[in-house]
Amino acid sequence: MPTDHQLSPAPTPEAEPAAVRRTGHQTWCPSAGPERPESVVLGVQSPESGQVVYLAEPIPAAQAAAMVPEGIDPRRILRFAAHCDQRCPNNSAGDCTLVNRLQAVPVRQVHAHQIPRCHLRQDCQWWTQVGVEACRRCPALVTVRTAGDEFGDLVADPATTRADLAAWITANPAAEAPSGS
Amino acid sequence: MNAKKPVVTVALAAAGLVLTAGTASAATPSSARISGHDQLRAGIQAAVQALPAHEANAATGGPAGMPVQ
Repeated sequence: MPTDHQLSPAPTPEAEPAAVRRTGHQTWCPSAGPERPESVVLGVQSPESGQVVYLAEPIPAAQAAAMVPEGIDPRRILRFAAHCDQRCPNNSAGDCTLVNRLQAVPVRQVHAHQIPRCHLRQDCQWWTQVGVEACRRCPALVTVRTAGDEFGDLVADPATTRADLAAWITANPAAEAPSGS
Repeated sequence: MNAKKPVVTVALAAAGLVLTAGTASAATPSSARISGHDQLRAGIQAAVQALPAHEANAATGGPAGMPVQ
């Protein structure tokens, strides 16, 4: 019998991710690379919105990567999902410290209630771990590394605390647009 | 006033991740989704075209500064 979760991919803020935590099933990283055999495409960066547009159904990463012109890192424009790896520097006892840090990044009010429909959700480590707060931030993420980004370096550093990020945001108010305008 | 708001960009070294906290341009509807290889290919092409010129040039194999065909 299908569950409401399966029929309605968009979660409600009241949904309780803790209920599905540590169920023993393999969780997936929503910002992985395309090189893993299980990697699938999660979405494509939209040039109009700067947000990820999600795929209705997963497509193998290798197939999508082959569509990207040579010389461009597919992660620059595509989001891939793959199994969470315990060797990941963001892994801490099965939790992703990265999504914990991302929670410190404010979500613009205009996006606060826009939860994407996502084929990965039921297996997503971020959803499993922090629920809808991850889904609110996920569309703004692009998997690639850029140099010279102070805030990015902070978020990337597993040693960074949410307090560190909050302090940076407070000290750099121009970096975050006010909501709703 | 239709100017875009500043964007917070986050580069995540370990996971290789960039977060753009959004712009003031129209948000992608949360219901918008891509279905199938053809739509994916079109989305990739649009995204590539929107990349900064030096990245797109690299994609064409042309020298830096060469206009993208």
